[in-house]
Amino acid sequence: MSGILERKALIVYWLLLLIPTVAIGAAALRLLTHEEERLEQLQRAAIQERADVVAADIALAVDEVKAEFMAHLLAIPEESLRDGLRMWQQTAPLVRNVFIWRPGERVVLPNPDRPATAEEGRFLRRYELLFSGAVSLVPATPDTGLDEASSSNAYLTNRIQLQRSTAPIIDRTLGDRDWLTWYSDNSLFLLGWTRPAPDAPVRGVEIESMALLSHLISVLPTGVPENTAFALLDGSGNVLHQTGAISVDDTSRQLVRTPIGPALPHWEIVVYTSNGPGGNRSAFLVVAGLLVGASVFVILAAGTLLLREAHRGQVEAMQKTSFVSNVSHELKTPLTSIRMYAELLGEDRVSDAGKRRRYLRTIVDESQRLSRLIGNVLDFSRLEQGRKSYEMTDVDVVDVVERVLENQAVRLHEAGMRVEKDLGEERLIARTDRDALEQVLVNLVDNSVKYAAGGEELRVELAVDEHGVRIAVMDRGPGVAAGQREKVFDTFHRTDDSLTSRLPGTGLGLTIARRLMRGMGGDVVCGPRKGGGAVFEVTLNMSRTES
Amino acid sequence: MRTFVRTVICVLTMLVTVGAQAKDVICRVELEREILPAGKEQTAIIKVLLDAPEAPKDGERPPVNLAIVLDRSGSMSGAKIEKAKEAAIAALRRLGSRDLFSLVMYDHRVETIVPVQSAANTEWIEGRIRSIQPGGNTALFGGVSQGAAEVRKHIEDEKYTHRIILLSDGLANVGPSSPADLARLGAALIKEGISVSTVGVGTDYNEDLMTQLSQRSDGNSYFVESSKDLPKIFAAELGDVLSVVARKVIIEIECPNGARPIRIIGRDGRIEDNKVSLYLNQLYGGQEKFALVEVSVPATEAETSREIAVARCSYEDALTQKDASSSGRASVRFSQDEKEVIESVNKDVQADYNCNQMAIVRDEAIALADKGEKEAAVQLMLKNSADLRQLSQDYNNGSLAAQSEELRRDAEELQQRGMDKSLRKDYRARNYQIYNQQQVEQ
Repeated sequence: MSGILERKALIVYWLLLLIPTVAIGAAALRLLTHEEERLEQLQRAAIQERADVVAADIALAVDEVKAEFMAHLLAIPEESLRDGLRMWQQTAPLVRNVFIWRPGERVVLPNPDRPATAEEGRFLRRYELLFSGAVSLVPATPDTGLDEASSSNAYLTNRIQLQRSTAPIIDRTLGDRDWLTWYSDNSLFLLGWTRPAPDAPVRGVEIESMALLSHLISVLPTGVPENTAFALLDGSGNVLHQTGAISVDDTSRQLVRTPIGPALPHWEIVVYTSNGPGGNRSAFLVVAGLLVGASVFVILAAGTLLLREAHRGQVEAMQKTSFVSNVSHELKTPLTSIRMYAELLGEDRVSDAGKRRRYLRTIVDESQRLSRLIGNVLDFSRLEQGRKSYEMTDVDVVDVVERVLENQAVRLHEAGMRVEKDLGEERLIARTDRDALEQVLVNLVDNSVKYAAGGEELRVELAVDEHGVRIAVMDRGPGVAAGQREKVFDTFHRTDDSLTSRLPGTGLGLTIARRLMRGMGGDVVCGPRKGGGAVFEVTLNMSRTES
Repeated sequence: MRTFVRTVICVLTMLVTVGAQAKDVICRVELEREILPAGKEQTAIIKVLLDAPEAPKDGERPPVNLAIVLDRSGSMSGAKIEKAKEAAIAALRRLGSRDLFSLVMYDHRVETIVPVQSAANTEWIEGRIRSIQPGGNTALFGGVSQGAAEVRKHIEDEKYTHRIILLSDGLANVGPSSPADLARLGAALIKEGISVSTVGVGTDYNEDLMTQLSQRSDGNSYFVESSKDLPKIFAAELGDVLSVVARKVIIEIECPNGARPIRIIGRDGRIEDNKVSLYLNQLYGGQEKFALVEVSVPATEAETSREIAVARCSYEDALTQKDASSSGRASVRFSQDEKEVIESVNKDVQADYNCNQMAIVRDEAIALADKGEKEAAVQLMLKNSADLRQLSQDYNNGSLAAQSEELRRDAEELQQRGMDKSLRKDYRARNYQIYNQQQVEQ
């Protein structure tokens, strides 16, 4: 009953330990997750900032080219305009085409009737709508402008709509310097023009987009954070260039995106990461979870160990209490007998001499029992404190056994046990503590008397082999169950409750026997006896002296 | 005695003249037919030849600024990348201490393995090249751009011959990857004096993209099916690059007296009014380059003659960086006698002209086959082959007969195999050699 209560208490303690620990672990994990999110946000912000800088750099580079080109366009003198433009086109890598145009009339350069190169032919076709006036650049009301355009080319209309909505310069009056973003064959073209004087023809330049791109590529950062890639994307979402170790493909996740701005409409800087959604995060969480799990485990394990230790201490304390009450009881029984008989004899009321002798005998017996008990308790306390010392002398083992049996003969007889001996022929001299050996044997006999009373016989055998002397004490009692054979030697152990309650004892006899024997280098073990009963075998592990 | 002295002086003068001539680029103009039929508007074919002098054998040569751009995408792994590395190292070893070397490699990203530096640091550079490992996609545009950026670091220095060698085995799949886009890049690079030579390995690369890039930048174009030929190709390319004798070569052809240029055969150039201009980035020592132009000549009376082309070639001597020029001119005579006209034919010019025409036919056949009209492509080639055979008989020109036969065999092969990758590359490579007069090194 108390065992169950005890177990319940243990479970309660353990739960008290478990719940807060787990709660702390969970809270730690939660905090870590938040921290991780915060870090990711910080990282994202840093990358965003970097992408913004790159986009700004690209826009700046494009604007620089535009500004430089515009200055160059203006610097060409009117009288050598044609040659100046040609020369420029042939030497400047970033110039794709040049043109001279009087709005409202045909293009002067390139010659629309006879383009000088195939590229000039393509150039004229590319801007046919512009040069023919089909697309008006003079800002009219948006409606009319769009109507006009939509009648000629629906695809282009969309594009122009787009470019109108994103271009910063609303005033497209020709004569001003301006840049036009033009879309053809799904590619972007940059066309710049200027008119130095209101009556002068418009002079213009088309930028070589591929050469521009080739230069812009160097603006993208080369050292980028691990698992990311910086990519420049055109309006159709094609990757024009990327840096970073990871390869941008369909599985890459977009981390941040920044438009280049009006310099290159619809172009973007996009930063990709190879981690799937939260990929980095889950890895972090796994590590964090493992760490938190490990600390929870350690706390629980340490708590459990402490609990177990406390439990053991408690059990020991209880055993000691029961030992004290047992010992008290043990002491009380012979004392009661001694006192009763002594009183009877003292009052002189016992006239029968036989009776008197018997009473006296009992008093002596009980005193002996009392001194045995006290001897055991004293020995135990000495052993416990490690103060027991042995007086090793050459001892005749056969003699010791015979003396013990002789001393115990009466008790054994009273217990209804017949003694059988097989002690061999020769004397066996061993080096041991005589008193200790005697006490061991007395304890073993005591044990047999206690638990195997009525078991008809007690057999003592003496054998010698190369390991030393073996003394076997065998009874025909109930025997010792296999699982109990080592436990019977534990301190305060008593085999089972029913026996304990029925039989007196301190639970110390066998413990002391084993400790004494081990202290002298021998041992006591318990085993089953053939045909029922128990065997306690004492081994004197020592050299045999010559007889 | 006096006679002797005069003779010696004369011989010496001649020697000096010959010596001086041997260092200059000679510009000549040849006509397909020296005599044209009178009384009707005629089309004349003129060939402007540039004879580059031999590069000095062991003397000084202009230093080279070479960038090698290596494709190290996943498909290059194994023998290809090993051979490519070997070839790059072999190229490096042919350079001298005055030359510059850089190496860029690319997969989906672009990395400068060897920043531009003197080619004398061979040990370190070789170590870098050997460390290259393949993997990833193909950012061809970015690779070439990066190579150009390395070359550009010394672009101001007039003494260098700037060159990029691009080696790839795959389709470009990161960045601009259409032939037209790469053509524009080439057109921009040539303005900076940078030529890109392309080396395609295997059968998977996009030959149009590669040839467009090299054609527009006046580089060479090579096609090798097996990577084991790479060192040989690099050696040939280096042979060209190291023998550059003239740079920034401008050919201007003016057609006086009412003659009018119609088109340039095989090369890109500009036709404006009665002027034709072409640009070559460089001339290699001992090689002959030429341009073919169709010119319309107005109807002229018989037994008169008329100058129809004045060609002027201006260039920069690669060694001295001095500008130089040479010129040539051509006149035609007109006759009623058809026989005389036929006899006046210059068979070499006729062969070159038709060779280019057949290359154009093959390009057209590719375009047809790409559209799935294989039969039409075969028919086109057969028809041109038959026309050419007729022409060879009319003019008794054996080279034309051989060309006709070659075209017929091409047509038959196309009929049997269909336009597979290898055949398409073969056509493009041959055409490229014809258009650019690239020395055959395969």
